[in-house]
Amino acid sequence: MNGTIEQTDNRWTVSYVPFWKGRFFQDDYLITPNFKSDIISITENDMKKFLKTRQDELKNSIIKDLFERLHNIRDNFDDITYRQVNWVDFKENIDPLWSLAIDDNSKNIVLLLIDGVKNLKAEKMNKSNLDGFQEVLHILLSEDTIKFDMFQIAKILINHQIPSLRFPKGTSKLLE
Amino acid sequence: MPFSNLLLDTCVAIKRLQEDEEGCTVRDFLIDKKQYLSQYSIMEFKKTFITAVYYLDSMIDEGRSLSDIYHDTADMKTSSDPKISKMGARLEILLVLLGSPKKINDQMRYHIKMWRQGMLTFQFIDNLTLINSLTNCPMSKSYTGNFSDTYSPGCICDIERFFSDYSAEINVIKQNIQGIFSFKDMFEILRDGITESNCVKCCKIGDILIVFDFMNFFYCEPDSALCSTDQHFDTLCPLLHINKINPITE
Repeated sequence: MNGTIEQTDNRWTVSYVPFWKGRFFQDDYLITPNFKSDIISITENDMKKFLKTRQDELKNSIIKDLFERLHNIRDNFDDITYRQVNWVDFKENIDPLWSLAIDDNSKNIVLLLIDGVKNLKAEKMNKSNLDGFQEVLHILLSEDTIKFDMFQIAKILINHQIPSLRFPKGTSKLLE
Repeated sequence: MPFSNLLLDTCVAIKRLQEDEEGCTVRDFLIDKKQYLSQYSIMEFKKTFITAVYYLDSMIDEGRSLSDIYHDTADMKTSSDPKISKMGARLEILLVLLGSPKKINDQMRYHIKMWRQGMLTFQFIDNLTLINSLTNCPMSKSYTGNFSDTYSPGCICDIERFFSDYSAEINVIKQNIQGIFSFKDMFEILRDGITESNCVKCCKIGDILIVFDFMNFFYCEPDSALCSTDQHFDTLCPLLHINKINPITE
């Protein structure tokens, strides 16, 4: 068992480190040691607020970390090794956003980001690509995701020359 | 002569999105050129890939595991029935686009849902300017892949009008492709005509329809060309005095 949530009458007891681990993350890297002993007792409404707040905090902290990596890449853009290493870090840190996306719009945005990131190599990158990722991450951070449909997000990425779709070798042969 | 306006055929439109060397060559070639696509190509794309998206989705709904799907897809590719082997190849490409997942998860399902809602088609036409198709094919009107939209052999289009409006030009083509093996199917359809909307026949003369879409839109403007790697166009384009350019050999 990954964790415990117990309900007695109208109160919830949450042992939330293992809970977060099971619900939101595949690995341990965001879990701080002192979480392990935190057990709290709250009402159902508080529980919902708690989940939402904690989730937003985690999402915001991941996005801020991603912003920082983008800035690092931009500031050292001409250093190709630095660019590659930071780009790989950025790629690895995009994935956890999927687990924190609750609504369909956010999930679509994260998927488009994942695709764009997957298809872009550091050596092929330009600064406009970085602007595109930054713009979409801002939307994800702003909680205004409802104002953007997936086509608008895809258009932002496309306008910044981010390759959101890359077919494998020989795909065109299917039409010949 | 450098051409600044290019109408891409469906294959080149896909090649420019390929991750291989061919894709890089095409992308480099297309830089700084205005790129157009016939609306007809959307139908070809949907018929090739969106049908496969539906196929994959229904395999998942059927309860097949991902390892079964990989296995069945490989099996389909080796089928002696070309329809099944082609579908196998398309499914394989979709699985690669999904990142070759190891299990069916939420992310994979959302991806497929996004494709069904039109994202794959939207990404396919990115940065291309669409031009109307003379056939006015209803299947090319939306990005989405409603099953009935993608598979409606009875849908109504303007193919009959195309045959009557362009009968003189069609005759020229007919005379020049008669007896050429690779044009056998196309010749037979031009000879017999299409008297009512028929997607199966229409798809077989796709190259001819794209040439006419080009002619209709560009009116043989000197700085425009049809961009294709397909050898059919080497024969068809000169017949209608259309420039043709191959992005790989150029």
